[in-house]
Amino acid sequence: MTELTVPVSQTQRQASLWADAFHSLRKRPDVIFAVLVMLFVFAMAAFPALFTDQDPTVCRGREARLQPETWFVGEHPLGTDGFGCDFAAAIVYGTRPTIVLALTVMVVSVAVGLVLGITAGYYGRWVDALISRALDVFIVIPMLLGAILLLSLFRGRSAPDSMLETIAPPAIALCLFGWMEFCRYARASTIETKNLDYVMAAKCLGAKDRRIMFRHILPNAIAPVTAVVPTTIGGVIVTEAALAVLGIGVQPPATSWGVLLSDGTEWAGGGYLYLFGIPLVLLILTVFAFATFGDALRDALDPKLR
Amino acid sequence: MRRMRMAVAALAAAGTVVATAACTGDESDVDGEGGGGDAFINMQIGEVYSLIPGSSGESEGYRVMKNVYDGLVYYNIDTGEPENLVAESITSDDNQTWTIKIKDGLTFHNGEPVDADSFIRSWDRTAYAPNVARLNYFFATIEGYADMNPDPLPADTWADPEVPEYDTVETTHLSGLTAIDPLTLEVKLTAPFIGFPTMLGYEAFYPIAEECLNDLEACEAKPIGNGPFMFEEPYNVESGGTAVTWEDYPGDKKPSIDGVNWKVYLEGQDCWADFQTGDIDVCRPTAPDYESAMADEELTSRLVQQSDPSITMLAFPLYDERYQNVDLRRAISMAIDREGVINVIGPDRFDPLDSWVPESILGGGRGACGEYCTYDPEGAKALLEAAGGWPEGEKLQIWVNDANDNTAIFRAIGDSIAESLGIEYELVTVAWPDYLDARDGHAIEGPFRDGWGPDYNLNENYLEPIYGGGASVNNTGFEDEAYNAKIAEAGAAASLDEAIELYAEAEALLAEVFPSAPLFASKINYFYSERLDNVLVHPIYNGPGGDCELRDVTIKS
Repeated sequence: MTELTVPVSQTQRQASLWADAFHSLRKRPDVIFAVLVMLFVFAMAAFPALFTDQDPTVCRGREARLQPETWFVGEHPLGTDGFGCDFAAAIVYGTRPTIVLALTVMVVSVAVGLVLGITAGYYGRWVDALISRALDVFIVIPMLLGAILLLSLFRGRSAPDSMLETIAPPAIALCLFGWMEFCRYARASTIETKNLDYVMAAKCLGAKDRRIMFRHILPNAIAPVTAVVPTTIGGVIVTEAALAVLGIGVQPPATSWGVLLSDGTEWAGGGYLYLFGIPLVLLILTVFAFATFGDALRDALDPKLR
Repeated sequence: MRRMRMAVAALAAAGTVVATAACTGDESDVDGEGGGGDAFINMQIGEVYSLIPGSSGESEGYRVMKNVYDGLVYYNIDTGEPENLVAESITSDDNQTWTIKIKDGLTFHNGEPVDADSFIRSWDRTAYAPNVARLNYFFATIEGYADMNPDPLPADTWADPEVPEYDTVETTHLSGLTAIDPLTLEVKLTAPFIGFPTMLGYEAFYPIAEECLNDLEACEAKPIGNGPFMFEEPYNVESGGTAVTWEDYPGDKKPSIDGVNWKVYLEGQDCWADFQTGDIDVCRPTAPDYESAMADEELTSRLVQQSDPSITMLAFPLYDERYQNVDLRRAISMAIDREGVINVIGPDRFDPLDSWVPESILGGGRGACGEYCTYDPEGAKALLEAAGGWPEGEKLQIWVNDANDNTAIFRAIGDSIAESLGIEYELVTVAWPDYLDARDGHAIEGPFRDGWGPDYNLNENYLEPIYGGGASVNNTGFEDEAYNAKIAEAGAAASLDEAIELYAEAEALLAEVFPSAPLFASKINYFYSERLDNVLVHPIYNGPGGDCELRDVTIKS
């Protein structure tokens, strides 16, 4: 971008960057696979009824811990869990909190990170110093540790009624310790972009700061941030699972993959490996898909690597 | 008796004092236990309500007190018969005036004599209404109780809505208690009661030292008992504590171990992980761990498996207007698939229960609950219809204390009710001391977990203490004239056999009102560590979640 001397039409250049990225992505089989996995997971989160006709809240004690004998047939295709609930339904209905949590954390973190990053990068001086030092403070606290500390405050609250109450505590904790990376990327590319001639031109024409930041700089700053997004989603899913295993994430009776994993570990030793194995495989597969996609997206969006 | 025992507890963990376990000879490794040596045994415990005799009335305080104090009698581990411990003899001509002779030369840990006055001191304290001792009710059969227990002030004037307050009560001594000489205590009852001596092994009847009464707060942390174990350091409710064997214990059976460390488990945590690393010596695994433990042959050679007369019930708040209809209460009971729940929480943990008195107790196992304790979703739905249905959109609240895997057990029960009746439920989990307070204060707003362990081998023990005392006193708010009349009739019966039959008739009357749904009779499944020997689990003294007779257990050299 440093080679640019003539202000080319901004929209056209944008389009070509994303179009190029799309072209290079669709040629990669690993990306196709990753996208299919992601679609599958998102579909489960959005339309659970398509994947199972069982109600996850119906649990019959007599049917507890039925091993999955045959795959995808019978009343309980994946067996039942420790309480006699259909395990396939538990997984399918546990997807939504997991995904909604991951997306919420991602959206909030990106929004906070972008705004702070662009502000810091654009204004520089004391604003930058303030935001950068705050960033330094947050960045030295590992996300998991920070989340554990914060969530300990929420312990002992009563059973949540709605999805919002279920995911709010872990979402708040993860957002608080998740925005720094986006902020750094946004700040770096803002500093890079703000001295470009087209920004100067806009300034000379009397454009207001806000317009310059969000109309001219943001479209440039967002590309490197975009590449981090899928990887972050994968990271949030894993962190949620870790918190659930520690008993401070999503609280039962609400389910998430983390809660299922946590319950499954108790039973794995007693010969019910599937209660642990199936959520684990699903989790690994999903995280792998997001990571692969994120990696490929970064390659595709970075002209230097093309 | 008013001892509400956590039939299924084993609470969870915060303690740090562990670990004198398998380390021989390394003095630097002694975690501050006063006794030195390494023959300390590590036991799990929940949150203790109180360590003053008469104030606890729950399993966890009793678990400590039964070892720190010696009562007048001690129950035989095989027959449950009371055998004299502190008492030399307990006699009566008419079953109404009892003469208790106390053994000579017994003292408390601090050197005070254990005499008639030490018992009178203790019993007066518990019986005095303004002290709000949980076992106050025990002394209702003794003369003079009424003078010490006037009606409380109106509930809305109390500072704490769960703690009753009284006008000044002038009488501070039970007139029925007289010290004939320093070692002879005469007890006058208001009516003949043949079972009186069998009650005396319980916490409510332990003696209290004068030093303890002078500073109850200090005594709460560091009890001054007369039993084989004593505290050198204060006991901490949240982290536990260590009691060492009393060097000068005058009793016949001095423990062979040097002391005991109690490690506290809270909030649904359990001792199994610590048991596996050797940090806890006796532990009952939860359902998932039980399966893998049973698959381990070496481990099953260290298993104590026996039936336990403790029972678990789902009690109803009869003081709550939503639970007034007997058909609703029966419907909820009928909707519970007891076999299914047992399948969830481990097949060897419980037996389904269809009576209020379990089979292993004299006069028990009569099946008084009958069809209402048999799983029948259709019948349950029909009964619910008859009761006017369940309010639309409202959730059935099931209250449970958060110890160990209670939450799992009551989730399975809730699942079963929800599935059979087509209603929604939620679990309200509360910490043990708060749960006791809420239950005593009738602050619970839905069916709740109620456990009971026997104090002696008689069906009366499962009837009168739980459902007697009047609507304002007992947990469910149950009061029924016919039932009370039958209990009184049985108490005055000429022979024990006759009394048992009359008590069984009272149990049948209980089924008419249905103040609680019997759920399970317990089974003991305790594993103990390699270094222990002679691990005996006492059907009456056993605390839930893993316990053994500390007076008998030995540590292999």
